[in-house]
Amino acid sequence: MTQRNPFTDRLDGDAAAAPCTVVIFGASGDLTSRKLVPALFNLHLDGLLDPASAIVGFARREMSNDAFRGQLREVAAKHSRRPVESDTWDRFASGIEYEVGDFADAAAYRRLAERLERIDRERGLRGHRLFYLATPPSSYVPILAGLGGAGLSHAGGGGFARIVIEKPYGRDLDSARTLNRAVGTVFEESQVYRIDHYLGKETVQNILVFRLGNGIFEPLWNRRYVDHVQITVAESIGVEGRAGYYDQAGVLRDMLQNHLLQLLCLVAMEPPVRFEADAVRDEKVKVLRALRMPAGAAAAHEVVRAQYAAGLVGGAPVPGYREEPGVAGDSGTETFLAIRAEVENWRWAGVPFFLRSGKRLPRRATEIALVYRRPPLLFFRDGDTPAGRRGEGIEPNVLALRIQPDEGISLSFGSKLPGQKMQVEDVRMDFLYATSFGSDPPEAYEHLLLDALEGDSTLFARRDEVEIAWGLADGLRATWGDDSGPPLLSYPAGSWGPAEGTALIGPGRRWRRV
Amino acid sequence: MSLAAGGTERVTLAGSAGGPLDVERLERDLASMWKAASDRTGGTAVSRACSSTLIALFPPPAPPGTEEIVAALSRRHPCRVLRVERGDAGGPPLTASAGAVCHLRGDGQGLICTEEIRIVVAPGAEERIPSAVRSLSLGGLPVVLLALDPAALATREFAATAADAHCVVVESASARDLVAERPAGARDLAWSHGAALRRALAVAADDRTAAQVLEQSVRIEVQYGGDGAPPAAALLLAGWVAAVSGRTAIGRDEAPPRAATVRRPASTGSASAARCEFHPRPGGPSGLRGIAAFDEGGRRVQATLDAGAHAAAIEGPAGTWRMTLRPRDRADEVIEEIHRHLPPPAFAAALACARALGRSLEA
Repeated sequence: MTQRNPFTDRLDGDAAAAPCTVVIFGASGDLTSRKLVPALFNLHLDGLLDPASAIVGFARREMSNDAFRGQLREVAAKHSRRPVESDTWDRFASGIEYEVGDFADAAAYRRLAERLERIDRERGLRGHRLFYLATPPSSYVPILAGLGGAGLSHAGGGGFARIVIEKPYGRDLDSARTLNRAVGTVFEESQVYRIDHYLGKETVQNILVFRLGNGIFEPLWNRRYVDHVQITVAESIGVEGRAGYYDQAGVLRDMLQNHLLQLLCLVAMEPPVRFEADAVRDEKVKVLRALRMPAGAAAAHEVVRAQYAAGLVGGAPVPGYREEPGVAGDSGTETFLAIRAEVENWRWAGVPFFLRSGKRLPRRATEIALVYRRPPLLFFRDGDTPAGRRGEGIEPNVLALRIQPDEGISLSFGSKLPGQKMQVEDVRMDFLYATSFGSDPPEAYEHLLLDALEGDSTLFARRDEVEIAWGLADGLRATWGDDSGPPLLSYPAGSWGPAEGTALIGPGRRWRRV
Repeated sequence: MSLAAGGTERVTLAGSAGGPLDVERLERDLASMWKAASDRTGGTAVSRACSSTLIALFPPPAPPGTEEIVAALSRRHPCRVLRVERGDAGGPPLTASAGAVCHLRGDGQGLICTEEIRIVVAPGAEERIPSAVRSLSLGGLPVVLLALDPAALATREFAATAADAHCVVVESASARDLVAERPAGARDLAWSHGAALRRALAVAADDRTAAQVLEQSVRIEVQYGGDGAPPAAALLLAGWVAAVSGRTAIGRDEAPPRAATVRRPASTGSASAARCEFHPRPGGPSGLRGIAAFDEGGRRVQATLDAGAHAAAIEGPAGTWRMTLRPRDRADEVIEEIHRHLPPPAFAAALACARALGRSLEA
């Protein structure tokens, strides 16, 4: 279990995390530019990153400290949610350094250790270190070995050493276990933070607050009232220069194994005994253990996998997946997946969970929708529905948790139309983060970096969680090789996927337009 | 701000300047616009209202009144309006600009605003329309497609856009449009135009004798303004009376133009056939003016709209009386059709009969 300093509990307001050196491996990469540095800069602006903290970039490319700072300023100006002004940036950048080195070079880690000790002395740090692996996964094992070899995995002098590992955390169960073993030989589990940036989103965290911080929703959160659950992660972009990775991963590994299953866990989990890392993760693991993914003959009609062909997205022509630079002309990688799964436990037995994700869909949107059962009888109608009074003619109530964009929650329900007739119309009650709280929520990486700095691993995946999720993904993937398994279909870019995906949800139900 | 509460004055907010369509940019610009909306209206409270995405196809030239209908819709049925217009050759395939249209709330306390996105389509880029509107349609809300020009029904972009819409509202103008293919479940404003006269006949039929006259009618006369061919609304009205009285088969008619005969399919009785006649009323207001049904004995049931369509005069065997009508304009009709979950069963039968009548007249 994570040990926390009891004196930091219940302090008024947001306090800065303990001063720390953040070491970023893959410092010249896209993730560092687009997410990590802007997040750290915004934490600095909010006073949540102690001014004494330092950032050390570690990468192969030769670069001076000044050149590195200049490069980071440029990208921060582009990607920060708040403006980069000279005085604040200069204060932030004063703690930025760069260490050149090959990930497999033991000497480079010794140099890094010396640098970190110097920084500790100069900036009055206590040996707190956060290592961030923002590299391709193939570099993880050499970096772990290097850190272990240089004695950096265990900070002395009362400091902490933690490691944040980016997804993809393996590419199947075997590789995830291998990686876990490699991590485990160098770091204790309590030092490891496997990041899924979806869990840092304000609205994702709000799922638990919404469910467990209100008295009226949790009683309706079960098989008795919920007809089915839809979880959609839709992207309008294609592979965007990530063809090498994506063609090996597909939507199964890129989205389902992590983001979709994490969202499902938060929706389906039982209330934890405490809001603490292991208590929360224990409940998520129970959901994953209870999750029945399509297997055997069922996979043919409970899984739809497809690849986008050329089409129009937002009115602009885009190439098909196989025409994307870096993708093989005969690639069999799926870019769309729709699945019917079930959580076989007391709360959810018999309630289908429909999961859907794809690239080159019409809109970028992530949403979780609980679609409620219809009322048993329908009284209020002028008789203009062939469904008569059985209730099929009206829309079911839907509770939609919008993760992005327009972060918020909406509840749709029937209301009487103004006028003399007893006519029912669907209306929507909306909560929007942007308008209710008036300020932009922090970026997911800000949340997660701060949590890692503070030693709170609640929103990070645990070893067993990752391995079970990979086991589920592997089981699904195993059906694809069968003749009786789901074939790889095609859908035009800019559509909501193949017709089979639309039909998967079954009669009497339909996918929500997200 | 000097708007009158509940008035029709409009305030517009600029959200995104015109340029080649970029959905992400447009949405970002709109989000920024909403954040700053209150500042832009001098501190007046601004409410963003939206219950659907309304796709309004504006073919060149847009039918008269289209602009007014869309403006009225955004006020009375708040929605994100996607105005799809035709542009000139030479520019980008699709350009777009966005903003909001605001009206003062009924109580005068703040503005109700709805988004309006204008998409201009260059010649030859029509096939991009469905994709553009699909990406700009709001999640979790119904999509309504409004096509007031019957010519739009024949276009590929209409069919593709209609396939994504929850509700399609079209306007059939003539017999030819009635024959045109349309999406299943499409609502037709030509049907809505006859609502007052259908209601008047239904009121008349509360009288048993009047109901018999309607049922046994041998002649159905529909009067309409103008001097051209009968509009689709007239055909649908006649088709409705015929279908309700079980006459769905069309016989060839030797008679003068603007008439055709409808029959009961399996009857040879003397009243099995009814002759439908369409009488133009030149010089008066356009649209439906009245309907009359006559039985073999010369008894008559008639409903006539006054010039402003504010009242209907009903004449029947039981006497004569007037029925005051709720004022409805075309925007009201569109809103009613949007709120109607399904076209009424009577519409399908009336449409089938009206189509047959139209074909017979054109032959």
